[in-house]
Amino acid sequence: MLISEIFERHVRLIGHDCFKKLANSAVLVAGIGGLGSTVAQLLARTGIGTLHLVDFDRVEENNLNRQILYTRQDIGYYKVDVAAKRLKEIVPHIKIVPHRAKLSPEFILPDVDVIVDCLDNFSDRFVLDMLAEDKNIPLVHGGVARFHGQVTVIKYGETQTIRDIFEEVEDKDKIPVFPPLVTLVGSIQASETVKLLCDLGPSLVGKLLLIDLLANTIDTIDL
Amino acid sequence: MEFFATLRLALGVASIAFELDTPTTIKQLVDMASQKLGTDISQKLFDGDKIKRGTMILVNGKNIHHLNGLDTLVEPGDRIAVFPPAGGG
Repeated sequence: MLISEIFERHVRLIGHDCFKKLANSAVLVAGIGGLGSTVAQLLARTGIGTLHLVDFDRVEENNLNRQILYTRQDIGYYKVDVAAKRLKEIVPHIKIVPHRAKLSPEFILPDVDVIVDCLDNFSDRFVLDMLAEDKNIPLVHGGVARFHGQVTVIKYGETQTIRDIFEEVEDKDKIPVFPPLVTLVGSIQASETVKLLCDLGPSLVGKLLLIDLLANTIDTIDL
Repeated sequence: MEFFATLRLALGVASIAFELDTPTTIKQLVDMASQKLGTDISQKLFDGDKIKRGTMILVNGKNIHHLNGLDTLVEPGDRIAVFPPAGGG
């Protein structure tokens, strides 16, 4: 397998077999906002072969503090279109499938190996959770608010679902969030996705990682 | 009982251990925690007889909404995790 020089510095670390798996994998990133910008970019740079991007929103000026795929020139354009173009500029041979859509029970999930939940509310997350459970596709969840966030990995039939864990959590409008936290939580989600695909190291399957940048704490709870 | 993220910072304590002689509910446990800490933490966690919006309580990793809510009985060795869920993305 011919390996692009882009990946040369980490293929030696993760190994050729793992890299080959990544190159042959398809991942769906649900929500290309703060978390999704980081997740999609890191997965592309790590060598995932196909990325499906789902979002219905356009880039707004107030996104630019944390949504690191976008610049001022992108304001007004659909996020999935801008993200697809930018990711191809970084990794020309990656396959990007943009879905300009809002998640609903009618959304038809493509056949992917992992779903990454980068959504910005629990209502949509519960829909994604049901869709993922129906197709039995593992899901890497992340959420952020203020200075704190959480990550967990769902394997249906083996762990609790997102609905089980976050039952009756209500959404709040326009949650303030610390930009460095968003990138950090997105990075952990990208890392867990790669680990899941390559079966590397202990994962967050059945565990909830809680992080707080103001308190400088990282904890893990068994679920 | 373990507190995480901003709750830990607000309460100034990471965890409290209790020795229980009788079956105790989550609500009673929070009252006991308030006595130990010298501050009424139920105001931070509850809204009347419900869990406050923006607070999650897990007993051994299970959301108490799936158990018996604030009347969930805890047993020796149980781990109670209290934290604010983060919904943004």
